Amino acid sequence: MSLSQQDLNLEDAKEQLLEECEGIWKQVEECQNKLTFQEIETVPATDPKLSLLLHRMKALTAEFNQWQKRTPEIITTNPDVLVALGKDQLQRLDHDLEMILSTVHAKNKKLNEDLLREQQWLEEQQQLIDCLDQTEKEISNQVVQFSEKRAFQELKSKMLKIKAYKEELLNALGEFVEKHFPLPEDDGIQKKKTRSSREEDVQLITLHEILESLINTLINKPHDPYVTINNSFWSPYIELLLRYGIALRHLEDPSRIRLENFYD
Amino acid sequence: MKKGVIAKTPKQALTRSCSKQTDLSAWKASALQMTGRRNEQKLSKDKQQTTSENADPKQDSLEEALSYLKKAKERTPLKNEVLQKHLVTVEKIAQEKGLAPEELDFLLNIALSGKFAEVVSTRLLKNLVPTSAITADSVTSAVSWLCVGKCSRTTQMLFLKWLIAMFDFIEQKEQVNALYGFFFSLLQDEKLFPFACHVLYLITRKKNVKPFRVRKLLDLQAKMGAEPPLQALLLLYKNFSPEMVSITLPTKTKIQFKNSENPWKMAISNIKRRLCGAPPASQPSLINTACPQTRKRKWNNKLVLPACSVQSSCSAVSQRTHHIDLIVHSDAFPVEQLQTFPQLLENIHCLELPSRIGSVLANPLLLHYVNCVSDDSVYRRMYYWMGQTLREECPWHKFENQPFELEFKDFLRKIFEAECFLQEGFSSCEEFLYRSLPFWDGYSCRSQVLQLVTWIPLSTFSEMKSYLFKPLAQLFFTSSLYFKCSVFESLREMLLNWLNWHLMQTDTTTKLNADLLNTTLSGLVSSVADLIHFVGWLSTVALSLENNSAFLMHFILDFYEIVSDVYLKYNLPLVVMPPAGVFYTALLSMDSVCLDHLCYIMHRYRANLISAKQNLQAKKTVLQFKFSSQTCQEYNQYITAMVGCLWTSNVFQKDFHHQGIHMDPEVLEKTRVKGYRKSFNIVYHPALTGYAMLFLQEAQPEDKTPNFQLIQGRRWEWYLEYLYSQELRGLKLFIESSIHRASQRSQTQTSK
Amino acid sequence: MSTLAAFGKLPTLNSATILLVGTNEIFQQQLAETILQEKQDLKINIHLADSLPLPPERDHIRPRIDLIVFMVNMQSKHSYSNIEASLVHVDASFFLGKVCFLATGAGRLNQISIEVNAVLKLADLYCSPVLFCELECEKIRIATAQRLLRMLRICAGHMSGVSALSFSSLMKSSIGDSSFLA
Repeated sequence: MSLSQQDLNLEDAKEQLLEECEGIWKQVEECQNKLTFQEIETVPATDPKLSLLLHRMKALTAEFNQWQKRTPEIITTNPDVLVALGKDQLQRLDHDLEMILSTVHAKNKKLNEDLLREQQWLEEQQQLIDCLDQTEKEISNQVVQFSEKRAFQELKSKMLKIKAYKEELLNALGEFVEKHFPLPEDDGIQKKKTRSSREEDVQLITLHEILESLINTLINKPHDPYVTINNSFWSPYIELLLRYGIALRHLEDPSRIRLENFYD
Repeated sequence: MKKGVIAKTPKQALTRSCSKQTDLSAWKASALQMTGRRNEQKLSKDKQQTTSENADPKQDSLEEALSYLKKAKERTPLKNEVLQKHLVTVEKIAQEKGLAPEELDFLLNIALSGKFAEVVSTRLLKNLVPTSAITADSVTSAVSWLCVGKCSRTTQMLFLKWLIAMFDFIEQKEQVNALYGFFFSLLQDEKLFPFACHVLYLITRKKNVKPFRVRKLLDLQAKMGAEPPLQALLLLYKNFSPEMVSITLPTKTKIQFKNSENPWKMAISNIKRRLCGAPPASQPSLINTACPQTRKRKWNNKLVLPACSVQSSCSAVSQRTHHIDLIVHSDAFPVEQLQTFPQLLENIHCLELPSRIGSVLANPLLLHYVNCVSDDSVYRRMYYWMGQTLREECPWHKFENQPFELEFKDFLRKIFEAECFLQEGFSSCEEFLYRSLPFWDGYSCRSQVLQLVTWIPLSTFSEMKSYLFKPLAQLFFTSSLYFKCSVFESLREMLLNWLNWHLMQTDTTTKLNADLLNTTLSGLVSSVADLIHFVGWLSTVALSLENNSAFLMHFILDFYEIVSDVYLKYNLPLVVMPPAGVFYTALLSMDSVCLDHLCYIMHRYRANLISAKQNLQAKKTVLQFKFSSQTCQEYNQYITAMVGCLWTSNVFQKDFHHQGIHMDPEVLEKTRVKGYRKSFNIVYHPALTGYAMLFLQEAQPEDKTPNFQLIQGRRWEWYLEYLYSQELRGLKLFIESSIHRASQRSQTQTSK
Repeated sequence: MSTLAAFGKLPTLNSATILLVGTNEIFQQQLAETILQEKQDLKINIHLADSLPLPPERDHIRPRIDLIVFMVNMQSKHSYSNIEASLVHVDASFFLGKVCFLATGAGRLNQISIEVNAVLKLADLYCSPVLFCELECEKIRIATAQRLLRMLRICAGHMSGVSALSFSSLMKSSIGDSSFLA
């Protein structure tokens, strides 16, 4: 008896919902009828943006007004429908809550791990700071004990070593330059007779010598470090020095060159 | 004139190449010994396994090929079949297995010596794929070949490209730096210029920045105009010595070097994969020579310390340059020996960072070190290397990277962990995100990308908006509920990181620069406010797109829990209320967790606002407080609505928020709900009515149909106690702080 | 009439129709299949076309189209100009949120023959959003299909409270505009 009563109620509810749907559909059809009267607007092929934006603005304004005018609508008051709706919502909520629960569990686990890790980092960093502080203290203690005499000795020995190193460097440079940048004799003359005959009468100086004179001029006459090029400078070497930025030409007098200021 | 110089060089080159040849053969002997030994090992292993396999045939053929290349006459015609055969062998082995440092050195010399036709040199160069490392000596001898001009411009260019691509594999960077002047002179060559710039960018240190070089670069700039590679180099110089480079340079050049294509990349990653992917039994002996015990970490080659960098450099270099050592500094502690924390403590003053800067990322000890050093070059190296790697390996930027997505994920994860450790983001990572998010599909490496977003440092919001938030919002709107939640989570972390950063700043500033802080503070406050507004906008939209999902709401309220406490907890003078779309949805939710959370948040807002007001009255704060009367008004409206809902049952009349739930009685009548006025109070509220039912069942178990009307008077108080006992702590705090004083009065009225 | 009308027909109950326009048939086909594989509580119709206008003779059996997706292959100039030409045959009302561009192949920068900016500009010209994706990869294809379905749902009016127009305004909220700032 009660069962059939329930069925009857459900039938009623369904009927009612369908009726409402029919009503809405009728509205849709009416709207559609109005819409079909509207002309189709094509978009201008050149610069459609402006016209589209205007179109959008109109449409958005209309939509906005619709929302403004709208009053709360009451969904059906049929209790069976409401119960079904409520059930559905509760089920959804249940599902969401399950998900929240597992996310919260996962997050807690992660937070715990993060906490442990960061605690370890903190501790290590503390140790590092302590260690560095201690080193600093030790160093400052050393400064106090610093004896002038010993420092002088140290500087002296350092100087000696640097001098020796400088010698070594200069020797290496000399050797290298001598070996790889010899004067253009033998084969040069044989191959390029015409050219060498022009320069034959002058005694050329080596690249080694060129460099030396450049260095010496720079050191001895820092106010005027320029060296004048004469026929004894083999021009390809001068080119080479200029090209690789070892020497620079005087801005006004192209016959004078100086060593690039490497040291400052 | 020029001719003269060139005419000069061949002769001198001849002598050089002769001496080089002897070097090569000497080397060759040792290399053969080594490979021979390796094969022996392999053989004995094979015997143990009682397999009848021969010694690795490929290894043999590589040896053959190398010795052929050594002996072959100069200018052997291209079509020579034997030459071709051996070249194919080299190619195949190089691409499949990669080359050991010695083999690499040998082939590099062959290629640059111009012994064979240019096509052959190019082919060899394109196959110089290292397995483990490239020695600095190889680079030195390669450079010496360039000096004598034996190879064509194109080959030189290819060599420079190779050098750039392999930079991370090169050991003893100090020795490469010694060649600085040479690379610098390459700038004069128009074709080599961009690559030379790039190489210089990689190797420049402070000591290399000299006035004469600056002059030269400025000359070049005057001549060639503002070429991006040159600008990058100048900018670097300026970073090192601002006093020397007085011109102004654009500080935010995004990509400085054209993405020089890297033909070696595929081969390297293939080899990498092979080394780690294949089961150990079938591994060639390669891995044993490379790094024996750290195989587990070996799989991402870039993140692993090179096997023997500093050690060998110590022995090899120290003899030659012990004089320099005296001048510069004392011996360094080899990083690869650094295994434990105590070791770090002992040696922190004499550590030298590895040649492969990427290995720092995966090494917590080195991260500690990086955290301490103030040396700018570490960050610069990291910046360059990381930016390059991110660009090169990103799977949605380069489709061919798709199969390696997993690897990229792991790389991103490592970056993120390092960022967590250092408590700051890498700027190369930020740039990568800005550049690549607009093209992101929202799927590849999702969680890693969203994690990295959290460490984007605070900057002006307008910039972040166009590069970060706009693309993110587009993805957000079209993606799933889970994506939306992850975005909220990530933005929440971002906000937290910003706030924590701010806390640290204020902690470390003294009173002296408080004024300075004040000016930057207003920028910070407005950026934070912008972020909060952005999230508010996203939340409102997301809730309506996702049908007010409780799951989503959970993440949104998590965000606002931080927002509500920004002033008291993070000392930032800012209060921003949630938008109505969030507030009312939470207030009317069916979910008690959500309602409770909202109550807690409103309670915190109240505490923050009260404290702000008190401080404002006491003029304790010198800082400009960023909350307007509008915020207060909004808070009051919300509170009225909440109290009207939960307690006094008059929300439908008293709610004056323009997006609120003020409603005409006629509409409400239509619902045919009896006593609709009370339908959102703590008894009837859909989130709480379940509690009311349980409460009634406990109180009167014999009643089958619960009568909610019974909950009034003293029962109302009992019911409240019951609710509090159900862990609704937020509700308790809210009622006790915002309602309770009124409750004594109104209780009798409302519960009627 | 060669112009495709946005509101020419009544909507069909419980269904939504998407039109994929593009020259790469394989991609279209694959994407269509992926879309159909997604579980939906409404019926999804998919129409494929290599260009517009659609053949008028079959117009009567075609349902109302809710969303047009223009697939631009970044590696082919032809694909781009084809889309450009097709856009002219679309009713202006479609551009109120029922059009979207799908740019494929942006991940092969070295093989790109159309500038990324060109696509962005085209989309901006027609006030419509662009999605970037690589359709060869199945997982990305699935993710893209889901994104398109979400948009389709809104365009077909199946999301209460959200219209195609308002949704597209959200998607468009462009640089320099501060719609979300209070």
